[in-house]
Amino acid sequence: MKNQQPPDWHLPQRQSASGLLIILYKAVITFVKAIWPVLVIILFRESSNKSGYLQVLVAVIGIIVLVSSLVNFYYFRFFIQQDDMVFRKGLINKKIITIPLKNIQAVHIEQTWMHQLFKIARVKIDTAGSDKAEATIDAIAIDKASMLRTYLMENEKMDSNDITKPVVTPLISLSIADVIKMGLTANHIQTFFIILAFTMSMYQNLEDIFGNIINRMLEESSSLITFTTSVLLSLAVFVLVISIVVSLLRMALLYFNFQLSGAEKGFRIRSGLTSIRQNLVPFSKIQYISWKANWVRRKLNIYVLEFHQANVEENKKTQKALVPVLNNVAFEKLVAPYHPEIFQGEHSEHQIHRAYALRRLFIIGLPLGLAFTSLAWIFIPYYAFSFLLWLPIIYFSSMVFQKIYRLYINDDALQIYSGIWGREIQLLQWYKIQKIGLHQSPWQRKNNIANIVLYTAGGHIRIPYIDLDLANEIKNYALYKIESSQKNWL
Amino acid sequence: MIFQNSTIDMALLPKAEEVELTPIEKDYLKVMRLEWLLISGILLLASGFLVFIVPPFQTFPGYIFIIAAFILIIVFYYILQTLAFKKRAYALREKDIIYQNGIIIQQTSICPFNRIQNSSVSTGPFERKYGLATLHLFTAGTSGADLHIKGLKESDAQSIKEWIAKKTADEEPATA
Repeated sequence: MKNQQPPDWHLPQRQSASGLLIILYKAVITFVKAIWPVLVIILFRESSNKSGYLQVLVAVIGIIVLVSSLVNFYYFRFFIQQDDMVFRKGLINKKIITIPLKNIQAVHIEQTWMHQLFKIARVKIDTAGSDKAEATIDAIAIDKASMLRTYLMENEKMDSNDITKPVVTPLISLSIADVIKMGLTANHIQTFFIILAFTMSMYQNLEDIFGNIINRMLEESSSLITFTTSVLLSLAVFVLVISIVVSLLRMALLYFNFQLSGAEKGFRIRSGLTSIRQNLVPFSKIQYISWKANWVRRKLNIYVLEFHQANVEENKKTQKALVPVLNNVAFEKLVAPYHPEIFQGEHSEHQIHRAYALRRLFIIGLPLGLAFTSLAWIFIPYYAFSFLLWLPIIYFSSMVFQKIYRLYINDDALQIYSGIWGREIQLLQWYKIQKIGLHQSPWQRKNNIANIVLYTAGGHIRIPYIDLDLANEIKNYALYKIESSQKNWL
Repeated sequence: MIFQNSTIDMALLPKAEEVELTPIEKDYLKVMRLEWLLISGILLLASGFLVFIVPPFQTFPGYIFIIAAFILIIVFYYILQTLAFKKRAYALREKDIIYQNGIIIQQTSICPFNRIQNSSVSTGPFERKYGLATLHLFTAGTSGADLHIKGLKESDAQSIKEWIAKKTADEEPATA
């Protein structure tokens, strides 16, 4: 291990030279993604005379993309000026981004396979603000990256600097068998729909290019097969196998080599098959915790836990801190730093109102059921009434939901246990709440029932159909806890 | 008591539901009406254009359909505005702000001052005509966690904003 001198961060730094390859690779990928249908046309319709123009167009776009990414690479600088991290970008469109060091929440280091090849990394700087996507260094030598992180985390007062220290205890590390277990127990129906959506969009793209050829080919080949039971059965098995294989791949991408270790002030998560992701989760940034299992995983006691952190956009999957939990010992250590599960101490227990199922049937079941049925009546009159099955499905699933739903409350936190087939548990400390909403429909007003929405910086939690008295007490108690708490929610 | 295990007496906690709410300024209804006029005007132009480019709408049953749709939409919008106006009310407490709105589903939102990240006051052209303003309160919460209170007197909005700023500044030493 060479002990390299850290560079002077106050001098403007460029990205690593070998990073140029990565930036070119990125440019090529975006280019190809944007215009691949045109490329296919060029490759397959050489006979057409017009393709000459197309080729010129493609070449021009390609050159523009190439030049602009080269210029961007050449003019990119980052440095530290007084108490700010500064990024300077662009030639024509000059852009200077200044991030106060004290606003830096976390520094992520990522490596794709290309980064690994050249021993460089991508550094993402996570701030309390919103435009954090801008604060990314695409290519920097790996040892420089970790020195930069150490420097940035030392220079701010955040508690999170402790997580970067090497004294960490591994809590969870997944073996290949565990990853396979996660893959086999994944929700294959969901995977199937993802594949379906993907195939449809591919089909559409191909149809745009080749016109009716694909359609005719499909029709010809399908007319050769007579739909006997055995054909249908083998088709079903084929779909199932494909779904399972894709589920396995998805889980491998997410959880291969997954490692979670804990330090004094936070967790460190490392995972990835093709690219290594590192994610730091400071305890103070966790707003609430939830853990979920589908029906199969619940039977095997496998849960996927999520730390809902402040300022992580809800829909950004890559930044989510997801942790597969395959045994109970590790589980307790994950939850305890935030707040231990509420069942373990003194608590009160509450349910949602029994009218929930009937109201759901009335509000969601009936309008949609009737709409589907009447739509189906136009196209397939004989089968239309089968859409009315929607009504009992909504009713009984809502009934099961109401029967299982539990709300546990103690002095410091609340916990929600819910699910129809699978289970989801949410655990929230009172003082992490940002805003409280109490919603009532006219029917709920008449019957003294209310919905409560608790907004946090990591997403919101909804509690439906509880007694108005309980809702008011939750509201008043939460306000009391927020307003009297000396603890910082971040 | 519903919270059996609480170390504090729930009955002693301030009750947000018992606070008397102040309705927003009456003049704001006029602002809403001006907005209604503007939207109706735009809609009228749009339907005129539709009649102009789609020939079937120029003959007998066609234009009846367009006129009926136009009237239905603007009347519905007018009623919706009236209802929405009546439902909006707010209250300031020592440590939080309460805002109520919602035409069918009544929504009460409460935002503690020590969770407000920043606040601002804005005035649109119609609002300025009547000396009204909108108060925006931003929390760190994700979507839907911010509060926008329309139809305040501009001076009221400013003083509430300053009051909250003072409150959050007072809190600062405790949280740092």
